[in-house]
Amino acid sequence: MKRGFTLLEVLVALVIVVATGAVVAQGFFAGAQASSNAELETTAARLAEFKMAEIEIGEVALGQSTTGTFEDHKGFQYEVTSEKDSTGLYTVQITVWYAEERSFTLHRLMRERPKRP
Amino acid sequence: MKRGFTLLELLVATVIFSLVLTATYALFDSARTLSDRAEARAAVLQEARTVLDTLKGDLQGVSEGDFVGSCSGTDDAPDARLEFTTVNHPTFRSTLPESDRTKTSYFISDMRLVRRKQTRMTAVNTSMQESEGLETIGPNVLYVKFRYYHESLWMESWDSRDFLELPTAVEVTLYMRVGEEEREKFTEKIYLPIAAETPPDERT
Repeated sequence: MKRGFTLLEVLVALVIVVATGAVVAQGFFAGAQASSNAELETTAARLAEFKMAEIEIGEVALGQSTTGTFEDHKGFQYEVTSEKDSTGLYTVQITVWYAEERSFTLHRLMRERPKRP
Repeated sequence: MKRGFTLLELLVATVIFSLVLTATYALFDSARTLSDRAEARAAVLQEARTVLDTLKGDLQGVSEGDFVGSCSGTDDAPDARLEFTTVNHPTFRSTLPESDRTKTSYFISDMRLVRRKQTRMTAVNTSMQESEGLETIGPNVLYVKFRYYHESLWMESWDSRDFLELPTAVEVTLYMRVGEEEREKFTEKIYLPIAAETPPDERT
């Protein structure tokens, strides 16, 4: 007597195979996503430090709030705010926006550079 | 009656199986390539950090003496050199009368970034050797470029013998080799407090 699989058996087997495949693929894509997020975040941190250095050297004046984009890095935008507090120190905050809603923020306290006589 | 598989069924099954296997392998292989790339990038980023930190330390310890930065070559392949006097030579364990200042240079030699620290600056008549204190600090740095900031302007070169001053800040760009094919630039702006905040006649 010749017997094949029943429809039910075939369906159950198919579901198991698909579910396993989906789990494996999900793990893979989560890994890829995490890696590209990490890369973007590293770049954002670097760009924020770069902007901070521009304020430190006096290229961008303290107490000035600005926004803009980076020439070499498309898709990254920055927002700089700096406020003077009662002690005379400036609180500089730099936020770099990327990948739609993600951001990296850097805070630093800075003093005004002494004027050269 | 017991029946085995026919040759055709076996062949079809083998083909399907090998297709699935190939797809799975491709997935894992691309994941491995990605991870190799990430690792290479991390190593290069680390190297850039080390170079920039060393340079920052040297520049922030800059002291009286010639500060000469030259640049030739093209934008894609600059050939720059920076030479200055700085306090970066620890002398606390030395039994010889040595200065803690050195003549420090950064330049590209054989497609790698080299730093040279020449210590013998005290006696006028001792000649400095070309190879003294030579070390490779950026094996993956192909080119380096410096720019000098002074009164809201970025300049391509600097000679303290002409300006009688030091720049307020130095911008460094490292052109790094990432793996076989990729190239990446790292730029940092380094502030020189001594130059920016001290009047020239108090700088000793």
